[in-house]
Order: sequence, then structure tokens, then C-alpha cells
Amino acid sequence: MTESFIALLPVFIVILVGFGLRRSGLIAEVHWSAVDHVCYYVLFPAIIFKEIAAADFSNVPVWSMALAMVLGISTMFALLLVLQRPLISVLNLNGPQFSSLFQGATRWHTFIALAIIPIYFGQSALALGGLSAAAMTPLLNIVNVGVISAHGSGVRMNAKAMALSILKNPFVLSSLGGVLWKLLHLPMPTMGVQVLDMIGKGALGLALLAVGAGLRIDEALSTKGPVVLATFLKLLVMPVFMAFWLWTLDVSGEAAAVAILCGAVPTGSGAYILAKQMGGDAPMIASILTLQVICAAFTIPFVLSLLG
Amino acid sequence: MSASFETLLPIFLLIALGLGLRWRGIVPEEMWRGLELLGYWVFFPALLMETLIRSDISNLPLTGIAFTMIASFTTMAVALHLSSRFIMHVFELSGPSYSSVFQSATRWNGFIALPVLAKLYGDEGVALVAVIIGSLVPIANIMAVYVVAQNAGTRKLTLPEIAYVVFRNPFIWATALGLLINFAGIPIYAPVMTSLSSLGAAAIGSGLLMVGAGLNVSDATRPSPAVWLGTGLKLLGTPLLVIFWSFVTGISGTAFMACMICASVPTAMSAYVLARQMGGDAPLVATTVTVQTVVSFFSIPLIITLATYLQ
Repeated sequence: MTESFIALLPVFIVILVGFGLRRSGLIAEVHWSAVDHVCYYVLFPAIIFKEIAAADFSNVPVWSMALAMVLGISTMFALLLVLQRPLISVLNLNGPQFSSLFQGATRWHTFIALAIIPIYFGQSALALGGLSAAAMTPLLNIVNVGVISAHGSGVRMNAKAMALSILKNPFVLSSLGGVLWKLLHLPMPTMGVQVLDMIGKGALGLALLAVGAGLRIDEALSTKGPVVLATFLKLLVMPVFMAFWLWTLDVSGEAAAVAILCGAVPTGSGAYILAKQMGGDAPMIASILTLQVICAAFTIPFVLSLLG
Repeated sequence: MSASFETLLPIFLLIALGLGLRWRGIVPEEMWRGLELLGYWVFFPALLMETLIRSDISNLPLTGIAFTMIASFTTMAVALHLSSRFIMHVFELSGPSYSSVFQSATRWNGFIALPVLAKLYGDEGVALVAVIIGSLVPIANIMAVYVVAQNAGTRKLTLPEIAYVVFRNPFIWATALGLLINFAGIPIYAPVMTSLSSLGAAAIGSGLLMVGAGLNVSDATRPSPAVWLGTGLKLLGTPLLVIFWSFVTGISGTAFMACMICASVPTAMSAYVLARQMGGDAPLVATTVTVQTVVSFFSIPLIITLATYLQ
């Protein structure tokens, strides 16, 4: 575990630098949201597209891996929806709070996962991270939007808007683009690879800074039951669900390890935006994310060390 | 020449991408400012420091490089200063406009030089840029601040103010710290080095996008003679001075190539900021930067070919 902890330490140091930069006020609030925006729309799609288009998946059970991930998150959905009434009454939650617990326990932070993958598994494994995004993101978005519509205090999203928001998701788009490029056997021009490489290299550091800048330590310190529960479910239970389905579907090796890692990272920052737009409990998401990032510095090395 | 042209193509494609992203409004306005601040305070210093700590710099002719660059840029500055009345008369320039020509000819853009040298020589190239930044940035900043203050009619700066302008530059701190850690052999904890390198990895891509986003094509379609003067002096004049001073100091090989490339890149983006803050002709700087960037796409390969032949 110490070894994985040290291997991942740089990720958390950079997050900490981002936190410090925001606290110091050197880079203002608006600039951070813009940094987030660019990572999301420009930098990560560039990496995902390039890695998938250049990847060799001949030895990877792509479909089984994707199916296992879908089943893993679906198990978490089912658990939360079955336990919905007892949870609400025991923890004394209102609708928006339940939706935030739900988002906090099911979504994943692509920035953190994609930053850890090259450090821990090597650059080539990024393609597997892209696949994970393509497999999980559409389902996560649909179900989470549904849950917030049912529990949130704000506007409901109609089917058309939902479909459009998923089609416009840059992670989904760039993964599909990469797969298409691969299936059509299009050549990858060297110049294009170099440009995408230069952009992509910067993305990881930049994204982690943005994660750090989004942390709200004060709110995380005053944590309550649901925040701790969401953290426990996301960081420790989700990887177990993933591992179970990967094992059932006979997926092993690097593909399985990347899938479990993608299950073990904190919830996504998109959860916050969604909660704000649709009347979920946005401050609660912020404290869930903060607590999860702090705990993840220890739980992710723990989970990875179990993989051996 | 076509080989060095191809080396540069991805770099200029990224600059063009930055221009496109800004022009089409795909990337929000505040982003560029955020990127600029992060690049200046975090990514670039991290890259310089990490490379200097890691590289073997004991074999580089550090004093030769520093002297060549300082001598070349100072020669240009002194020549421009002595002929200031003549230039203002011939080109019909005001004081502020003259100060902008001065800045266009005597500063250089590390965000462009670094990717070129990193591509050509890897870590050694980055270490060389760091050394050149460390030796040249303080003196180039002082000269620029002095000339703008003198010609733009604003009050003269006091010594403490000039010291502040120079020493609040994070590049200088990063270079000095990196050199110190390298020479003293101070061990740095491995995860800290990895953190520095993942931050530094962002320097090149984001720096080039930012250079592109800063260009202003519509103003540059009909450049004035003063723009061409600044462009010619910087992109061709400074490299020629480097050739002369390299003969004097006797540097050769990679060190010489690095000096030539750093001399051949467009002027610094910070020239625009300084002009705006201190009453220089900021639009003239902006136009010159744009023209220089476009021309440098062709002139840098030319300089690299010439330098390869001479090294």
C-alpha cells in the first residue's frame, strides 16, 4: 500500500497546489471555472480521441469490460433506489439531499481517473480510461438526471434535452470519434498526433489544479451522515461492485484494474453543476467531493494495492 | 530547411489552434487570463526548475551562453537607443511608438523558444532555455522598463521599483532555485519531482495556445513601416548579432543553436502589458507581435538552417 500511496502522491500534491493557488487568490474564481471548461471541452477530448484511435484493443475484452462497468454502477443504482425510503427516514433527508447522496455515490471524476492512469499504468492504458468514459458516462448522466428530476426542487429535463446533453458530452463524443476512426482504419497523421500530444500532456496537470481549486475544506470539515455515507459508498463499495462484475464476466489484467480504478475515484465535478441547474443540494455535493478527494488519497492506493 | 520547417509545424499549428479557439469564442475570455496566470506562475517555472534539477548541466558553457546573449541583446538595445532620434525622425514616430519598436526588437518569447528547443534537443534544450532566461530576463526587463518610462512621458521609476519588476519574475526564481539545487546536489523527494513534471508538462501546450489567443489578425493586415522595422530587427537582426558575439565567446554546437533560436523568436507577450501599463504604444506592440509570429514561421526555419551550417 505504501508503494501505491507514493506512486499516487504527485496527483494529490498537484491537487493541493491547486487548492493553495485558489486560496492565495493569485488566480481568481472566474478563471478557474474557465480552466475547468477548457479541460472538459478541449484538452481531455483531445487525449481520449488520440489514445483510442491509436490503441490496440486486440487483447482487451472491450465489450465484457464495458458491460461489467455498466453492471457495477447499475448495482449501486439499484442499492440506493431500493433503500431509498429507509435512507430518507433514517438520515432525515429531503429530496434534494437524497439526489446529492445519489450523485455522490455513483458518478466518477474523469479528471482524477485519467490523471492517475498514466502515472500508475502507463500512457497506453489511457485508451482504457477513454473506453470507461464511453461505457459509463451516458448511463450515469441519464440516471442521475432522472433521480434529480424526481427529487430536486428545480426544473425537470425533458427526454429531448437529455438526449442532446448526452450526445453533446465531449467525453462520449471523443470516445465515439476515436472508435469510429479505428473502425474505419483511417491513418493517424504524425503531425496530428504531435499536436494532440502537446495539448494532451498539459491537460492532466491543469485538470488536477482545477480539482484542487474546487475543494471546500471548511464545508467538508462540518460533514454530516449522508456525506460520510456517500464517501464510503463511492470510494470503497463501488470498486467492490466493479470487481465483482469484472470477475463474473472473466475480465482480468490491466483492463480490470483500470475499470476498478475508475470505480474508486471521487464523484465528478459535473454533479455540482447538475445539482445547481436542477435544484439538487449543490453545497452538499461540494462537501462530498471535498471529503472524497481527501479520503481518496488513502483509499485509492488501498484499492490498487489489493489488485496486486 | 524543410526538415526544420516540419519540426516547427506542430508548434505553429497549436498557435493557430489558440487563435481559432479565441476567434470562434469556443474558449471563454476569462480562460485565457487564467491560463496566462497559471502558465506564468506555475507551469513554466515548474518546467524550468524540474528540468534544471534533473539535467546534467555541468558540461554546458554557462558563462559563454550568458555572455553571448547579454552582449547580443545589449548591442541591439544600445544601437536603438543611440539612433532613437534618427528612427523617430525617419519613421515619424512619437516617443511611445519608439518605445514599442524598442520593445519589439529587444525582448523574446520564451513560450515559443522553449517548445522549439524541447523538440530539437529534449531536456538539454529546455535546460539551455532556462539558463538563457536566467541570464537575459533581468537585463531585458530593466532596459525595457527604462526605455518605456523615458519615452512614454510617464515618471521615471525608482530603483526599488525596478528591482521589484525584475525580482517578482517567477522564471528567475525557478531558474535560480533549479541551478542551486542542481549544483548543491540537494536531493528532492521523488513524488515532488513527479508533481513538478506533471505541472511542467502543461507549460508547452498551454503556452502555445495562449500565444495564439493573444494574436490580433485584423489589426495586422496593413502593418506600418514601424511594425516591419521591429519585425526585421528582432527576427533577423538579433540572430546576426548572436552569430557575431558567438565568434567572440567561442560557443558552438547545441549551446550556439539554443542562443540562435532564442534570438530568432518573436518578442515577449509581456511587452504589450508593459506598454499598456506605462503608456507605451500598446496597439503597435500587439500588431508587431502578430506580424512577427506569422513571419517567424518562415524565418525561424531559415535561422535554424543557417545556424546548423555555422555551428
